[in-house]
Amino acid sequence: MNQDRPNTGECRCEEALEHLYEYVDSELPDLDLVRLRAHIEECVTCLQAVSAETELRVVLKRSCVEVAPDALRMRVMTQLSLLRTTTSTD
Amino acid sequence: MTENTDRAPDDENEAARDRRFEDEAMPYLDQLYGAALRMTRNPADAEDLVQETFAKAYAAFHQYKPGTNLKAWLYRILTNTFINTYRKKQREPLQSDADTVEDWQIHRAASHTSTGLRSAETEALDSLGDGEIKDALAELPEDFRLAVYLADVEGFAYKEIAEIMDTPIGTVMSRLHRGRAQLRKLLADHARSLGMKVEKV
Repeated sequence: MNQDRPNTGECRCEEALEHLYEYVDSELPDLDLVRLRAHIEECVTCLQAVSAETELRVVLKRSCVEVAPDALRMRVMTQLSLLRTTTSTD
Repeated sequence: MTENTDRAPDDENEAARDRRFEDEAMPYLDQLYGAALRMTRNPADAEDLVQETFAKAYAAFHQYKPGTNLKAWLYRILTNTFINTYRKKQREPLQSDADTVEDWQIHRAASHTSTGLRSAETEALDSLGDGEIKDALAELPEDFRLAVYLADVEGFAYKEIAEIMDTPIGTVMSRLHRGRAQLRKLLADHARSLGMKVEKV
C-alpha cells in the first residue's frame, strides 16, 4: 500500500477494491489488513468480490492439475542414474 | 552455531545427497510438468523442459540450502530454463511490460471496479470446462501467464515470484494485475460464446 496513505480511519469500498488482489493474496501489511477486513466483512459488494476472486483461484487450480506421463518419469529417473554414474566415475 | 547452513550438510556423502534429491525433488514432478505445460503450451516441449530442469537441479543440488523452500528453488530453475531455451525456440514476440509500473498504478486506481469478477461471471466459470480455462490461460502474454500461474495456481508469494522470475516485486504486481484482468475478460468471453448469460465486462 502507498506509504503516504494514512493507516487510520475507516476503509471504504474504493480502497478495499483497489487492494482486492493484495487482500486475497495475503500480501497486505497487518495494519492495512485489519482495516480492510473490518470493511469487507461488513460490505456485501466487497465480500462478493473477495469470494469471486477466491472461487476463480479454486477453478484455476482445479483446471491446471496435471499428471506427468509415465514416460517422462522414466526419462527423468534414467537421466538421474546416468548422471550419478558419470559423477561417481569422475 | 558453527555449522555451515548455507549448503548441504558437509558430512553428507554423494549417495546420501542423491537419495535426498530423489526423495525431496521427485515428488514435484507432476507440479513441474503442469507448470511446464502452461509455459510451453505443448506436451513435447514441456517434457523436455522438465527433464532439463531435473538435470540442472541435480547438478546444483549441493547449493540448495536444506530447510528452505525447495519448491520455489525448483520453479526458479524451471523458469530460467524456459526463458533461456524455449522462449527463444518458440519465437514468441518478447512480451515486455508495455507500460511502466507507474502507469499501471494509475490505471489500477482508476479502474479497480472493473477488475473484480461479477457474481454472474463466477457462475459462468463453473460451467467452463478445464480445457476452456487452460485455453484462456494460454492466450495470455507469457510474462502475465507465468505470474498468474505462479500466484493463483501455485500460491507463491509476491516475493517468491519476484525471485523465480528475477524481477522487482512492483513488476510482479503489475503483471499480476494486468494478467488477471485479461484472464477474467477472456473467461467471460469464452462463457459468453458458449451462450451463457454474462454481464458485459
